[in-house]
Amino acid sequence: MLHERYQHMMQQIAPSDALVHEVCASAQNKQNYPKIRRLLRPAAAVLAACMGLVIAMPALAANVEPVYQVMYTLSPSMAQFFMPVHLSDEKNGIRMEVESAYIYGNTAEIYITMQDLTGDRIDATMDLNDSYDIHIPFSSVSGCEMVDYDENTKTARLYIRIEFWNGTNNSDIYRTVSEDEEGHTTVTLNQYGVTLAEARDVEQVPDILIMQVNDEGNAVPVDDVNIEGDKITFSLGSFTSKKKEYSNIQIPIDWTKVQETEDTQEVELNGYSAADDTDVFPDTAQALIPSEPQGEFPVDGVEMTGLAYANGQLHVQIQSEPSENLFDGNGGFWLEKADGTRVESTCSYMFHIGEQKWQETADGSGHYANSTRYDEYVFDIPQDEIEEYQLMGDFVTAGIYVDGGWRVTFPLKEEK
Amino acid sequence: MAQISDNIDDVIHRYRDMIYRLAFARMGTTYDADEVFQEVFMRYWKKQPKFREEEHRKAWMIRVTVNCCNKLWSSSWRRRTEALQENLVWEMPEDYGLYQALQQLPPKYREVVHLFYYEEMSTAQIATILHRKQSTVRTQLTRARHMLRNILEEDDDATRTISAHDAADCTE
Repeated sequence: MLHERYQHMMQQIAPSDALVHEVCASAQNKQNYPKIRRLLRPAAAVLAACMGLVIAMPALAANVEPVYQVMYTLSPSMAQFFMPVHLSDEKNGIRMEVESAYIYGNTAEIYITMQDLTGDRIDATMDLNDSYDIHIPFSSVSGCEMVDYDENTKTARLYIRIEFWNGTNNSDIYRTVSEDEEGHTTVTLNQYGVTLAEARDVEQVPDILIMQVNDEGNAVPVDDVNIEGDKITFSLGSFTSKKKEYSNIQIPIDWTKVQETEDTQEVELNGYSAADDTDVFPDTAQALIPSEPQGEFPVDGVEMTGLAYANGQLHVQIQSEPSENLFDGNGGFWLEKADGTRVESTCSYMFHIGEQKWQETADGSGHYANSTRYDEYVFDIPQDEIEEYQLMGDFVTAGIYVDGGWRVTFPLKEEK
Repeated sequence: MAQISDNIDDVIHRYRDMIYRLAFARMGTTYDADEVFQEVFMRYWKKQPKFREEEHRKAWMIRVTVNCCNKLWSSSWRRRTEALQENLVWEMPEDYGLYQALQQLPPKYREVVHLFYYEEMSTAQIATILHRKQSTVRTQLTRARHMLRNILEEDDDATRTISAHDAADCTE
């Protein structure tokens, strides 16, 4: 029965204990609710926890440079193992340097620095914008995040972690657990109908996620895989910095000039969110037809291009130019009464007008070419009540977008 | 359904599997399910909604999970990111076959299939919670089952009728 089959399949899916623990812990600490760690996708730490990797520590390596205080701050027990690499690439006046690396078994941890040699374009708000790429000749999980910024040298430090992952092979491996009449459990690993491993105890055949198939077709623990000798290429296409936060800003509006309009158009949405979490996600929406920018908008790189009632709802529309690189949509509008009563938008959506052609760069990132981004916020406030409210907003913008295409290739070499 | 406290730990542990499995069913990877899982509880924590009945909380959780999936599905970040190859391990080859077949269905069909076959909701309940017409849900379920049957070929068990399910399984 499809019913039973579906249930059987889906019961094997559950959140990892690490994920649940993180969400619970963060919920208790209300100041630090979990942030979606997109830069770390896939989250190597979580995956490592799922994989249950047991990593053997190599012998203590000597001659570790004493400059990596950040490593000691982050992980004192690991810092001593990092070895200097010092390979760099310089483009657009910015140097990317592989500072140090720690290779052990199937795992590589790497520190990379970014330093502006000619200006002041790198700061603590630097954002890689998902434009980095880690190229390695084996299947892996990896992540990259900025962990430190040195104000004196204007240097940002990035941390990369890579773990060998036996890629697609596992997709075709099945684990069968059977129990005989005496209650003895037998665990079997099969691939293409061939038994790869069999044991009488679950403990003897560890979770298949940490197994891989070697050249002889046998299942071996991933811990036995050594990535030393392979090469890695880290590349970064672009970044933004000089992020500026506009908090609680008042948008001066003369509500008497805000009128009902029929000048709307159907637009294809590139993003949508609803405050009450009950709306069905639409593919299109009615948006105001953008006008010329209306007055001075207090956020750099953003203009107000629409403010009107349509179908009884207040629409507020902003435009960000020349590209969405500098305005990523963080923040938004709300209405607030003098007594502090706050009204959120019923929904908001983002769309592009223009060719809307996604232009991808060599590093895999990109942007909508020849198009302008619009964000529109919709409020359910009757027109005869709107004068009681002040339009407010929070926004985050980036002041600088730097394109470079930095690339460094270096060997994964374990220091003996 | 017994009412639980509003303590977020209790809520997380009550709904963790339901949310995660629905997100996985809709998105197709554990990476995306991880993100949706966090996002749903972040919204819950931010809003701290009150419910008179546990059924209402469950409906809210399902609705928000679907919304978060939609949001992630359409995000520009996702468009820029190459899909990661999921590396799941299934107990039976049939599980893998079904998972692969499900990935070929439109996302809207997958969530209907999940709510019907896993959460054992009636088409009327699904229609209410997803804000779709019941006839739409029935059509999507029928099409999904038809597509699955074609994909799985040998599956001769996907014949459970909607009406039988509604009558027998979903009235409890």
